[in-house]
Amino acid sequence: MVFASLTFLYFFLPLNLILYYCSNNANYRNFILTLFSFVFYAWGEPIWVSLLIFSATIDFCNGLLIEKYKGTLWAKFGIVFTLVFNLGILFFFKYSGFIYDNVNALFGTSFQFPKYSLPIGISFYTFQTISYVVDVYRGEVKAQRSWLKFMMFVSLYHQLVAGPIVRYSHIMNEIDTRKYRIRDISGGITRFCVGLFKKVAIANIAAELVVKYLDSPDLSSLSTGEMWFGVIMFSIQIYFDFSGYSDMAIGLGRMFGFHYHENFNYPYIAKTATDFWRRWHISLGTFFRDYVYIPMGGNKKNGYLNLFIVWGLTGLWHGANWNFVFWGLFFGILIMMERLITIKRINQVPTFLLRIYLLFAVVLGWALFYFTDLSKLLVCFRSLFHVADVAWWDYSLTLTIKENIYWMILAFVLCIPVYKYLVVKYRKVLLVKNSNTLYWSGIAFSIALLLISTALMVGKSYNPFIYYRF
Amino acid sequence: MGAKRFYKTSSLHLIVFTAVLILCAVLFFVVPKVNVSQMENRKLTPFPVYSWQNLENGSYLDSIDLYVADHFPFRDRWVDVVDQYRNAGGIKDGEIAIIESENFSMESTDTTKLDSVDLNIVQDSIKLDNAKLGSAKGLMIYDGMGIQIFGGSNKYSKLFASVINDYRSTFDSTINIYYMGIPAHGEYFMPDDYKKGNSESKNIAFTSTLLNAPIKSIFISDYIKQHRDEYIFFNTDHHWTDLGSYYAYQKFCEVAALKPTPLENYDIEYRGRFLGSLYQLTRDQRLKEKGDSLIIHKIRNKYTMKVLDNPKNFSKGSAGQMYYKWNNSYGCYISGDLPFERFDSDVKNNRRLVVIKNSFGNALVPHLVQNFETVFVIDYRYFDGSVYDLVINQNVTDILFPIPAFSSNTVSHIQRIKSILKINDTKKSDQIASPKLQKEYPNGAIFKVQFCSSKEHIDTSSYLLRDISNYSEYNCHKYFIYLVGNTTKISEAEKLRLQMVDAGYNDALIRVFLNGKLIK
Repeated sequence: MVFASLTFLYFFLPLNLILYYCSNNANYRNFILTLFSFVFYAWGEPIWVSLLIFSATIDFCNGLLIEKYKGTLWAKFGIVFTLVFNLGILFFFKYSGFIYDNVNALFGTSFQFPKYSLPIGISFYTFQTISYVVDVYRGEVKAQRSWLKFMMFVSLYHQLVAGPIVRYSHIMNEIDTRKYRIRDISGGITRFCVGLFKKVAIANIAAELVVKYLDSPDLSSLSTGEMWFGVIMFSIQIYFDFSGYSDMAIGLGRMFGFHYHENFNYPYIAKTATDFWRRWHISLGTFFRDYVYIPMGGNKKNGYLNLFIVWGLTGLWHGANWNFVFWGLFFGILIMMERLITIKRINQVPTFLLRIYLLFAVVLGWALFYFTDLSKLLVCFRSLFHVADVAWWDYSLTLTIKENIYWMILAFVLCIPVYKYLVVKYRKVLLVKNSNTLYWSGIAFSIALLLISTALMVGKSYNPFIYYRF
Repeated sequence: MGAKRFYKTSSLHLIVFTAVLILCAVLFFVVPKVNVSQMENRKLTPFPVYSWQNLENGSYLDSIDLYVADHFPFRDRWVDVVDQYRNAGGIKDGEIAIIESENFSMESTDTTKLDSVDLNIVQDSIKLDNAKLGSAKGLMIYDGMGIQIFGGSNKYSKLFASVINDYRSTFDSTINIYYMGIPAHGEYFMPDDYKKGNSESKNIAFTSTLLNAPIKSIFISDYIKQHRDEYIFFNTDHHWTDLGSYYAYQKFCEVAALKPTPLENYDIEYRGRFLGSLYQLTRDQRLKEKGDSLIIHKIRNKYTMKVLDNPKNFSKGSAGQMYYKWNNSYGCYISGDLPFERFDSDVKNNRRLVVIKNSFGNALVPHLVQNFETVFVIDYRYFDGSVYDLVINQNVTDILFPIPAFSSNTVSHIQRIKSILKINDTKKSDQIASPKLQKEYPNGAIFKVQFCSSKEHIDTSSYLLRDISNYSEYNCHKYFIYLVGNTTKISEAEKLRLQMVDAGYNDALIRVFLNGKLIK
């Protein structure tokens, strides 16, 4: 199931809220949340929910094993088992096709590989359980003794299918005892509605424009302007889609008494690539930092090699294709260059130039990210830099921009921390003024976002047929 | 106080939020459901049927999502809100806009692959139903009118022309074949600044140059252009009006040596306002404001109209309405897109016409009924009989292809037009075929007349061969065929064939040999 669906919003969520809050019993609530999470997951993947339960159970046992035999060979066995198992299923489902393809291409063989659909969220939950077991091994957290609670941690539907990668250590206290505060729930609702709006009213519309240009059957005839527009729209789509999803996850968490860490912090206002990755998909960046980069020796030993390994892996995590690896390495190179130049010298450059540099680099990066077909990628780059024989601009692009100009302004403005600023202002005024209008406007705001999003979701099913036949 | 107040509003927030969710959920079950959306012209998703397989592959639960979206309470109102949100998203130029959506170009064939298109692939008529507007690249809204942007190319013309040439070579040259390429709105109403690339009339003219000589092309665009200020095309629908088709009819009569009925000899019926297909697709405010009226020019001739249900039976069917009562839009003409219809008029001139058309032909057909004894109407998208059988068995004298440029530049349509010719549909009709033109055959071809065939050798003394002398026997696969004559001219062979038919060998047919081997 996905958040941006009417079934989730109007049936699943209210039912979940009512059943969850109708009893005070903590075990009951954990049970309800776990049950609903399984249903949520099974909605799209009726089969793979068993894999989720199976793999989480193995990690649960390994956690207990490691803690019991701390410092012995058994603990080592436990951690190796978890790593091999989790990375094994991740490789099997996500990367086996890619490896077969490359082996076949390299050696001219024609091995057939079994085709499996990729279980949803596998990249997220394997990382979550790995971080848990590693933390137990390091002695940073205590192993969870209740299977139900552990299942709840892994399967929590808020973040199960699209992140953020919630670390056990971040919410371990809340897994055991949650405090419910009404203002938290209220804030969670607002956060959820904002996320929903970002996904439905911005990302989905950007997606239509992306498809129109970048999926055009005749890509090589697009003008340079259209190609840039398509790639910029993809930058909008991916940011609002992903950060909207994280907002909804965080909002849902708060509705049910959890506090997840932030996953995005206005990445498009970053000044350097290093800065960008501290703001973009934070939970993934910190995961690779804490569980790959630093254990390998960080920047102390083989710093640059480690850097490239980490960025290659980061790229590969996003998808089993070479373009994702290139995309990761592209950021690796930028970050290495920034280190060579040193932060001190970078800071001497005017801020606006840095921002232009970063946006340029990120948007190009998204072009790399978008085209899994490398020949199309080449066509795209040739057009972006106008080295192909294409027009600079097309009249229809002017019309498209004009028709979406207010929407585009809204999208661009939401990329900079204007909303954050307004919320802070709003809270300050609320503290001073005890105004009814202000209170109500806060409620009206989230309901309005909810209703607009609902309309857009209903509208998606609007699909007229031109001929008079059924 | 502030903290308490904050608590109160936060609770209120929670209450309002859950109330909205629950209210919609309750309304979903309470509000009566409809099965068909009038607005969209389609069946709404029904509640899925449960099966383990459906559940396992996820389609059961996906269908539930579709069901919920299709039956959401007050769905039409929500769709209106979407229009408003989308309209507020930018500046809608009062004059012009380009809209591209997957709805417009359902079929996008990569033009570079056109050289290797297999025209013999028979398109499923149901799949074609979704091909919609064919080669449209997008839609422009100009001055309240929806104008599809043409995306055809000369490569398509070659494919299309080859199919019409196939028709030509199949039938005797006494049967007239006409090609009427129809340009749509863009040809007459697109502002010059925005015209780029191939125009529809250029594409049609190019197609005509590729057609074999006995095919008569009817060029209508210049003539219709003279009437550009009249109501010849709908604003919100992708079709022409019947007035637009009337001018095409006049041009047709000129070429076909017929006398067109003057415009003042029609009865006019005003059916009121409607919003057409292009509005339904775009829901654009400008189209809605401009709107359309249905003004029908009714013919005065006496005629009978039959909707033929069986493509193999050319006379049996149920009565139909030329101007369908219950439809106040373009769909009223000849009752919409039916696969096969027959009109018999009070005209006696021994001319019988077959119209092979898509929806653009609907408005044209009533005009044509005034000048032919019989008009057969085939919608090539849905017809699954054989044009060949029809033409041969019903002594058809004229075949008209009124085809919009958008369709003649769409591979699935071209394939479909080819596939309904079906020469080999029934053996019998094959055998009484009119002879083809001799130039179809290679030099040195010998024509003989086959008068009977058998699985076993037939003895000379047999009853079957009793009156025939000078026959020859030929072993063809598992059959023995018996032939008379030996000539290099197909016309002589045809004479001989007719003699054999007169002699009682009704199934006699011409066979072609090259170097002693049967080639056809």
